[in-house]
Amino acid sequence: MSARERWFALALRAYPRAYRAVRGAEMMTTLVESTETASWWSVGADGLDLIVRGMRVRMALGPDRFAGRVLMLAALPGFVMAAAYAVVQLAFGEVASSLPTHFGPFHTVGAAVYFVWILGALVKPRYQQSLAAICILASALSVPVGDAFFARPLLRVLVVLVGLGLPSLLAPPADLWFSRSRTVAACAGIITLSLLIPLAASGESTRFPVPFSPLEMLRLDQYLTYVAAAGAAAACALVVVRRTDLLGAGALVFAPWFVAGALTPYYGGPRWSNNGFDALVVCIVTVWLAVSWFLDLRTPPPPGKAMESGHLG
Amino acid sequence: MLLRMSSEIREPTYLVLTALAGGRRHGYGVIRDVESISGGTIRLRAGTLYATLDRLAADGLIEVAGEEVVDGRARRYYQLTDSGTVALADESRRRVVVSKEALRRLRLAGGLA
Repeated sequence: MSARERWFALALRAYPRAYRAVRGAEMMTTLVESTETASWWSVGADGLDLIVRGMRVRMALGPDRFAGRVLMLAALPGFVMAAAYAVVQLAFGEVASSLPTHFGPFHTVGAAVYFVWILGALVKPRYQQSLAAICILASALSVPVGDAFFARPLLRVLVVLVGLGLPSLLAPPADLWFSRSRTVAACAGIITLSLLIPLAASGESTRFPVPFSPLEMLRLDQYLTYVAAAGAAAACALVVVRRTDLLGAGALVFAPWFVAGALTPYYGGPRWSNNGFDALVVCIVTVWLAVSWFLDLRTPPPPGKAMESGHLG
Repeated sequence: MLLRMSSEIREPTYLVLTALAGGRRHGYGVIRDVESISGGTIRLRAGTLYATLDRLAADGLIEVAGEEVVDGRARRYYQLTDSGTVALADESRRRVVVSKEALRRLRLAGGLA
């Protein structure tokens, strides 16, 4: 076995055993034949691509699995919200009230990075995941860079941005699912909301209310019961029409806000107080998502029913 | 299932279906065909190819059309199903209509000789 074949065999181990049993030998043949005259760079890239794809199959994140569909639906709204939130942070966030303490590269570079992300993903969907990886890496790096030169960004801001970006990173590549007109309309709505909500809140303070709650920012907290009831009704309707993937995507997009809120007391912020009910709803949906994903993990990975005609491996 | 969620088939998937429209192909055959059809601009990686094949098989657009071992190497062949043929034909017609309209407008605007 050549070094190239050893490298491919190692990369193929990223796929689950059941998948390799059906596809392993065939994929190895294709890999070897397609890289006979390829450069070492291309061979390396092929192996890395296999590892990413294999991990996705292993984690049941393919487009034909429940978790994959949920991630695909959550990806675009998620990173649009992340981009809008980064801009809002830059314009109305901590900088205005506490420049020396929290000012850091994130607040200046972050917005630009996330805008590149969203523009790149809309114009070149095939680079969506690479761009998502860059944004998440930039967010994470802003902590040590901030420590060294400025000040680290707030934990809750990082949690929200990374949390909103993860679906875009983990989702199966955009293919067959991208309905551009609907997506653009949804994005425009989310961006508008994301920009207007903090503006509505900024009348009282230049800082975001802590913990972040879209309801709180809209000053809808006095109507929380009705809003939560409407949310619960919408959730039930989605279950009835069997669009549980949409429900899951909604939970994924809102989850980072609530995680950030739940973390607040542990790093010295005000207590998480008046958004308990909507947080409970999101927690229930998130637990259900996790259980669905776990059950999906236990079912054999699907090379496709039509593929199961024989085992070459 | 996924096709119903969107009206468009993106380029790599379209190219894979087009490659299989020429008859059954094994993995490397599809990669070569796609590279040739795209004028050398798209080279599918194996991981991407098999993810696409999985998806197309799950949607019932392709199926296995035989297996063989050549020089100790395992090969599996794929072909379009009836649904795949219809989907490819529909998508191709849609693209032809759009392309014709684009060319017509370019001619009207004097952008084409």
